[in-house]
Amino acid sequence: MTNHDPVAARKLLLTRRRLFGLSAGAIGGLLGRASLGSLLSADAARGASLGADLTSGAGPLGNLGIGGPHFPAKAKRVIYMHMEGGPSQLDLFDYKPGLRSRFDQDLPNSIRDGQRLTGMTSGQARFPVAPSMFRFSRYPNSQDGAWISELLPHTGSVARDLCVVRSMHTDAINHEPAITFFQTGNQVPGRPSFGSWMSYGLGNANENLPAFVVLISQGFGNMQALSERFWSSGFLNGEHQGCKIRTGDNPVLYLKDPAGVSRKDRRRMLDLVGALNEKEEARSFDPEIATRMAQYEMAYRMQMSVPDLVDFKDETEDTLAMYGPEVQKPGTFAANCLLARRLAERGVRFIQLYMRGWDAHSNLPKEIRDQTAAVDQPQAALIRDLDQRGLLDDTIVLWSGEFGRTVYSQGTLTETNYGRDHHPRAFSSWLAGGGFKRGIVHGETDDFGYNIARDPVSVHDLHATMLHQLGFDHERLTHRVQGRDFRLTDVEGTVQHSLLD
Amino acid sequence: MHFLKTIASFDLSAVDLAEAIGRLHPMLLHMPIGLIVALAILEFPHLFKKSAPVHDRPRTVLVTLLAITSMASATAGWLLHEGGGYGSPVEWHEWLGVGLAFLTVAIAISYWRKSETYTLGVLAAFILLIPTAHLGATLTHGDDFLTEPWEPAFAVKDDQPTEEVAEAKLVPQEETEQPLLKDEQVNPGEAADVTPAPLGDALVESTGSTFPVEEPGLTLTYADIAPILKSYCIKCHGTRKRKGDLALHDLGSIMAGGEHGEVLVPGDPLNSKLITTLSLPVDDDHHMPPEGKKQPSADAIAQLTLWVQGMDSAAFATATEQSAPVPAEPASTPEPSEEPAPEAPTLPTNTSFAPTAPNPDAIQALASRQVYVQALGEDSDLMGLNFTASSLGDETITSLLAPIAGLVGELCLYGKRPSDQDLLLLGSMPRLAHLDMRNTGGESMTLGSLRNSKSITSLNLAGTTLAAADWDALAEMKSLKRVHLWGTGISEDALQALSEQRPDLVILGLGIEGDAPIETEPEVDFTRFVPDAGSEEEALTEGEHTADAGPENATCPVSDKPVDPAFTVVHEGRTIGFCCANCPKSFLADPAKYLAILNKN
Repeated sequence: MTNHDPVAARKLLLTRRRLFGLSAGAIGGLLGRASLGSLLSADAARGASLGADLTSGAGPLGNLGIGGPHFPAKAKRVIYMHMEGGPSQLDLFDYKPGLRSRFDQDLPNSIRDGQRLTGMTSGQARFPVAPSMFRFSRYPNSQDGAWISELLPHTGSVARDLCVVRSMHTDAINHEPAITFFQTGNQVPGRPSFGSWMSYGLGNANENLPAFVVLISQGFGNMQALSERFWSSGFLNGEHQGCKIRTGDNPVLYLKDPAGVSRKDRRRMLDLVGALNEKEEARSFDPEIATRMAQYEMAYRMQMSVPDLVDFKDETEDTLAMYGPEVQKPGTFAANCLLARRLAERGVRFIQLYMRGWDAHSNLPKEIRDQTAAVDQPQAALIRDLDQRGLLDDTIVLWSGEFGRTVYSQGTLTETNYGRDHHPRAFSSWLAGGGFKRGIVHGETDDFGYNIARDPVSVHDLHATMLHQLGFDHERLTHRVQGRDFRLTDVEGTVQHSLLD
Repeated sequence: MHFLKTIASFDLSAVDLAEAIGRLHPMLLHMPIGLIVALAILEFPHLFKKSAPVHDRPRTVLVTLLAITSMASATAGWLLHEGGGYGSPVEWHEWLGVGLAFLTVAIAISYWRKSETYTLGVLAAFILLIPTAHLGATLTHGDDFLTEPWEPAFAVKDDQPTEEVAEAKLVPQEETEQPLLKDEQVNPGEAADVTPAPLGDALVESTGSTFPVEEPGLTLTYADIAPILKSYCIKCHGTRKRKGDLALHDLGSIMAGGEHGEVLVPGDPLNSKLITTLSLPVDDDHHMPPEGKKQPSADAIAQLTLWVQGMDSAAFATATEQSAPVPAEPASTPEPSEEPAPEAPTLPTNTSFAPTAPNPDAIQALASRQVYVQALGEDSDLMGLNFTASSLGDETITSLLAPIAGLVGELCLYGKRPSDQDLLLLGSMPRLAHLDMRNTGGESMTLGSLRNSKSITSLNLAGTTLAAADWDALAEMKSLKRVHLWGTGISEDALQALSEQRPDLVILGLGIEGDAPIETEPEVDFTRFVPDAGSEEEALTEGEHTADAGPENATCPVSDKPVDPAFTVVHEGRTIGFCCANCPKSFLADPAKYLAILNKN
């Protein structure tokens, strides 16, 4: 018999809500024990829900709601330097001396093989081969050396630590979908970013700072839009979203107390709001309230930790010199590299650096000179600095654009000037640390650097491999929403063991 | 005279009146109970139907007295609770009691008004009385007061040992439960403390104990004495009641002490109130358990004494791989240099090296201090801890880690400076493999007892200045495989010595320099043929090079505009220029037509 009395139905609904609320609390063993009255329960609730999601509960720790990876991790954190716009692999890492004899030759149709191009070059009558005008040098590594362009002498000098992948490929050919794909594993916006998955999977190792931090450096070449959604947490809880640290007086927006509000006042305000929130939580069992309280408290702690973080006063002369003169200018790639190290040593999970300006459709030689001048010394310094401090062993450093650039020239081709269009079929990235093999060059492209000849690595493969090093089976790091389990690698991805120690 | 003096010095303002009145509660409360029962018996014939009360003398007396005494009793009870010392179960009793008091007033009013609700009120009061009185009695006598005598009838054979069993099995412990570490770590000074020489005598005299207190090497664990505390103490000092803010139901609470401070000083029973209050004469005001309650036997007191006496070494013993009891005599003294004897740090009593499930309270304590805790894999019982963001407050690294010392596999103390006691604990943690002590800051620090570690395989000391004596300590750590020494201030000589002592040790972080290239390709030149036979480069030949020639035409054959050299098509060996990117498409669509135009020009 169905009860159609609206009052009775309302009562039933309330009862059910409370039941769900209670069982959600009970899943997290910690919350069950914590008094609802303590702010701690907010943090504990989060940790507990992680544990419930991500540990099988078979072990003694799973029962206590302590989360963690699926298996012992080689790496604890990621520094991901995204070269926004797509750097030219042919002028940096994919050494093709043979092309020098094919200057301005038409790209054979058998190479392009009917590939759809972007609207920017599809109208071009010819696709003249533009060999790199930059000299390459061979730097010592664990194999017979890595050929790296004269544009990156510092990076070449740490080739011993690099795992250069010359056979990356992606599905997207334009910036927005390609960056979205690289960050979230899907070209269509709405999925959580890699950093958000990390925060979701491992929690925050330093509760005074966000688990996922984004640092942006303006470029010198052609820049494309950089959407905030690249570091969005998608359907994951908002606390997993990337936090952008800016330059200037206000590194994190809305963190400072308004003028005239003292820290004591802020504390009293938080205590009062916290007390009200606790009451509401006790009434409604809404987990969002615990999250909100935790966020308030974290912001309060960040008011102290962030100024200390962005102040380089305690760095030695040697360290500063290593990153180059630009390191003292906030917002430069050099400053952000040093900031990345400071975040890494404080336990921040995922540090995302964006370097804009690699989209060299024309005037590539000039633009790439400016771009590499900005990134070369700092990125090499970061590798060395991490290595010195013993952090490189458990930090994955990833350097990659969202795609590469074409071997044929876009627009004017002369000996000293050319442009290159987007090229998703083959491009170069490099990794360092975190259990990735030190000093190797992986994969190979054809004579034109256009297609992958050997050992292709897809974006999903890269994600799966990085997650593996972070202790996760990429097929099991999932979140259920709208009736299905989602994961960073969607339905693809193979761990590339040949890249790993 | 003395009496007068006392009277004269009477000072009412010094008396806590609330407490004085509150303590009348146990005296007052039995009157309304008796009155309710009497009234219920008197009204029994009318009790289950509505009827106006019969007014007569006995009823009037009973009803009036009931209202007065119950209100007085409730007031006193309220004040007693305000004074503290009771746990949360008192709340129910309190509200029921207050409700009952008001109900009796209502009964009195309905009686005077001859209302028909009178008998219902009496019935309700009688029913309400049962839980109220029961809860109150539970507070005083404990919740198993009624059931306890019946327990043996339901006892399961292999249940928790009762106190008799525990007393019977008191023989020197042959083996500790979890042998995990090697035995060199026993602090000889502590081991010597185990013999409770003079105290034992004193106890034997004062209590008449026959217990062999001076049995050498006897150590008791908390589990051994817990039944004693359960029998005699926790009814008033437990979860239900916390008299004097003291609870004795678990080790943590015992160590926390009560409102007059700590009650247990490990290794020092004479200064532990937990022991001394038991030994006082029964009529002493400070004697425990209070006069009239069940008193522990002399043997039980001796056991407690021995437990407190041996606490330090007992806690330590669980960490050691000893198969024999802790030696009573100071064993062969090791090199004096190793032990700064007077203030050697000791481990807290709740240290647990056992790989058993962690105590939720310990995890809670870590979380509340912003220590990050992570499981190292879903099948592992090991934890990784990060203290970077922690604010320790009144806790220490040791106090937080001690209860879970057997479960920590990785530990990061970035920016935190471990004390000697912390290092002692870290050095004895049996499964700690990765220890990160970067940037501990300040003056040079010493590794101290960390050198005893048998488990640490990788140690990061980057940015931590070490004392000169510590390079030997590193060499001593046999399990150590990798060590990061950047920024530790290690000298060339010390480094040399360390790598000679420990050739298998991977020393990292020093001398990291960039590499020069092995070779550089010759000048890039694709405009001219470079007849350099030694070059690996394929140089371009003149013939292959098409850009030099340039388009043959000056005007675009499609649009008739000037040619832009950027847009050329090589057709049948001819280089044809166009004005823009679109014209070549038209050209290639019908080359013959445009070649004709070209040829005409």
